[in-house]
Amino acid sequence: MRWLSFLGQRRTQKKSSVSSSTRDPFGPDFERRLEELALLSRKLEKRRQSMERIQKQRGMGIEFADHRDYQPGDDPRLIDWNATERLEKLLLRVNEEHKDRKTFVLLDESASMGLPFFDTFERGQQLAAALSYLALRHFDQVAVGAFHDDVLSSEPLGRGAGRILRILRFLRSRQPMGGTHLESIARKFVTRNSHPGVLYLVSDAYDHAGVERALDSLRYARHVVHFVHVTAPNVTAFEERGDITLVDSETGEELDLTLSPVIAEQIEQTTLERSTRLERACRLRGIYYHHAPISESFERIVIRLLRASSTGFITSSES
Amino acid sequence: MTFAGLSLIDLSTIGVVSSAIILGLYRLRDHRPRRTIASLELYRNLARRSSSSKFLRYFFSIFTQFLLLSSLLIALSDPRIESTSQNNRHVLVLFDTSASMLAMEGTMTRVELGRRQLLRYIESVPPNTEVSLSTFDVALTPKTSWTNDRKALRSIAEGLKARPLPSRPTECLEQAANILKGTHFPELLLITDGARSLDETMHVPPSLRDVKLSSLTVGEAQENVAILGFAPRRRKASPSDVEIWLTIGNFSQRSRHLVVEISVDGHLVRTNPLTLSGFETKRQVEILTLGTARQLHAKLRFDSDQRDALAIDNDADAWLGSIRSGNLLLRTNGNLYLEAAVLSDPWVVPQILPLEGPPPSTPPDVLILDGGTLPRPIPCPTLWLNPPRNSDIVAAEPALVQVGFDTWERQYPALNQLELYDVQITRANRLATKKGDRILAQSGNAPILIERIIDGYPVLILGFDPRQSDFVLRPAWPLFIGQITEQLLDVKTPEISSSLVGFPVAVSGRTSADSQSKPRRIRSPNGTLFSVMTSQGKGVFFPEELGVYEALPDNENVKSEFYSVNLFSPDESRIEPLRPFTLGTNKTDIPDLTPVRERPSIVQSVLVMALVLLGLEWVLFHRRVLV
Repeated sequence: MRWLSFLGQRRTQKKSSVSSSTRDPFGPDFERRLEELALLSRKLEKRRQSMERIQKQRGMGIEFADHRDYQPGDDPRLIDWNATERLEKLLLRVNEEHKDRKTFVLLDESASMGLPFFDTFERGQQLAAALSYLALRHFDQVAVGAFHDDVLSSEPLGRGAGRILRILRFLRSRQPMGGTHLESIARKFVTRNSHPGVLYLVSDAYDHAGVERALDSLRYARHVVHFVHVTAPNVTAFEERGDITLVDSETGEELDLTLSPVIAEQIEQTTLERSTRLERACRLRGIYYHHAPISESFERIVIRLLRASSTGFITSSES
Repeated sequence: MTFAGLSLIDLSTIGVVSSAIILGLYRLRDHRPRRTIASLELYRNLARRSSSSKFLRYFFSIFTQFLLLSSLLIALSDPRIESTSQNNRHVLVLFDTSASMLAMEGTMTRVELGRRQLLRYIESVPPNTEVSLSTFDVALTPKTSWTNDRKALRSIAEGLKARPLPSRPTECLEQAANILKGTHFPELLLITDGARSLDETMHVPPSLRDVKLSSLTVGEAQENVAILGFAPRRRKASPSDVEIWLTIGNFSQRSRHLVVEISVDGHLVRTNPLTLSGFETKRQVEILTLGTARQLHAKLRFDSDQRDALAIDNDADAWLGSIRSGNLLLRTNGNLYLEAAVLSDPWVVPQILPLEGPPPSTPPDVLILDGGTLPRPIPCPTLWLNPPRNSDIVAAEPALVQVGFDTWERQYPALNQLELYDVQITRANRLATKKGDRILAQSGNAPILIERIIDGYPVLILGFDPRQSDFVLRPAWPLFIGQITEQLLDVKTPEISSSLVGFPVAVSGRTSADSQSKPRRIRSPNGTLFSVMTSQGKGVFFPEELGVYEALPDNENVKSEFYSVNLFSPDESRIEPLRPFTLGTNKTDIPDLTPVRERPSIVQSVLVMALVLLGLEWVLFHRRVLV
């Protein structure tokens, strides 16, 4: 009776075990789904075009934008002498500088993303591909990267819808491995990309050191950060009650746990608190937080992401 | 300590093996399923909360399992703690079923009182004691093997009955000693009325010296009178007259006025008043003219309405032989001693002819040959004296000179009550025997008197001429000829009229030349029938009832025979109990009859505890699975 319960648990484990390395994360109709998503995103794009699509930077451009009073320290070469003569005060000429927006998509490829039961990495791959495709369709310069431990691998910036094939090939080649050191990755990313852009960070946020310092680094670099938090149901959703040994996918550390109803309830509570805590940390730093449970399709997640961005859920740093 | 037949080592082995199995299963159980999760961060705090009790729960679980195992082992082994000195006692209970146990004690017999004592003892038998129950009277009869099953012992004890048999305690104690040989802590318990046969003069086997002796005595009554002998015999001179010898004893201190009644064939013929003083035994001789009557019955009673304690010894039966004469043919060329012996026998009609003379006018019932040759076929049972040396019946060895009867078969009817040891024989022939012959007398190793079956008739052959010995000058000579004649005439000896109960009674059967055993049916006094195997015309049975046994006739010339069986045992009639009771010179202890309280079996309670533990363990470690 009780002695043999572990056999049944082992059978359960074998049934639910699926290898993530052999499955194509995108599937045969993935391109069609991306096209449908692109059509839907255009409507939302009109609403936020002035804010995000074209980034207007007042500076060294040739198109006149406005005059402003001279301030000590301003470049004297920018003084509009004609206007100064007419209005009898020092005025500076301010021009608009048009720049293409840069979109970065970083996918967490640490081992915690590649669990055998719930393949969060596949969902991350899909989200990264979808976000990249939408950015390319809107003429952004897009760069896709993947990271684990303190290794950041990325494709160079590029433009044009045709680049999506290269991005898909890149994403398809990634395998979950190693740990998660977001702070290190954030610093590397900021160092490599000094010009601010839109950053979609797709991760499960399982970093033993915490994600706050990484978020601070990205914010400091003035990137518009969207934190896409991919989550899978916790162990209580599929595990039978009883004694189990939990193994940390990244560190290999083991922990014996007896799953009782009370413990299961506490795990649920803790999981919820963690998501809430992460969302609060993003809000405090003006970072978009998007919850992406793998129980939802990636299209719904992307649409929800676009809507949240267009409704002004913008942090102070972006303004 | 006992463990339901298991030794402590066996039980420990079972416990160790079972514990090893439990530990092994727990080790298997310890290989809990492994689940790879994204991060342990979520669970680490929870594990900290539960780890404090997890360790205890694990060991509490295995402790519960061990407790469960221990409970089951204890329940199954049913351990009992006893003192070492009483381990494996073996008590042989000898229950007296002799005639004296039929004595009345108030409204109950002694055997009923003895049964009560036995049942009380059975209730007091400790659990570790093996008991074997046997009865004893003329012999020891085992009733049970060694057992501790009180129910079986009670069942046997309640069926015990006394029989009108004398007791032979010495022989029974010998058998009891053999039964107790080799047992641990042997003990012999006698349940008896303390008959006088068990007094200090009896022989106790030496092997009982190391046996603990104990006794439970029953009975207090002392008043008893008994017929100790009843021997009627026909007078030789006048067979119609019967001489009755009657022996009567008083076994109480007080004098008794008694009446003796004698019945013949069911009719009361004589009533004699009699007075016996305390412990007096008196003999009476009565001569009655009874004619051809054969069955006699004597009854002893008080002249008042009193009754004594033991009634079975107040009656006696006797059976007289029939009056019958026969034709005897004596062929001799002149033998004064032989002719005188034949002519003095009132039972036969003699006819004396020479050896080579003409045939007799009437066919003989018995033939006596004084030398000569045996006619073939022989016409009737024959006594052949001094066969010639050239006959095949005489061995080729030289004749015996100056010899005598060294051994002879005293139980043979024709030789009964004869003393032949000082007979001097000048010259005798050594008889040649063959298979089937019965040697009746020998001189050294040489047969001088044999019985042989020839042509279906018994032939007695004497190997010497009586005139060449002093046999013919002795009183035994006419008795010898007379008893042989009576035997060959198939006339029962009138003196043998009664047998003792419990002792063998010889019954005659059909004589045949093939020596095969033949059954003879016997009807007991209570009417039941049984068979006795007879060989060469003889058989034996052991009567266990008082009264008249009848050997029924068969189809081949064997007529009905009657045997009266009586007790006639002063030891049994002297019912005064021996107090204090001793077995020979050995004092006996009185066992403790305090009932052993039936200890409730711990099996049920321990099993209940095991079930509670199992339920507790289930609730503690499986409840979450059920949710």
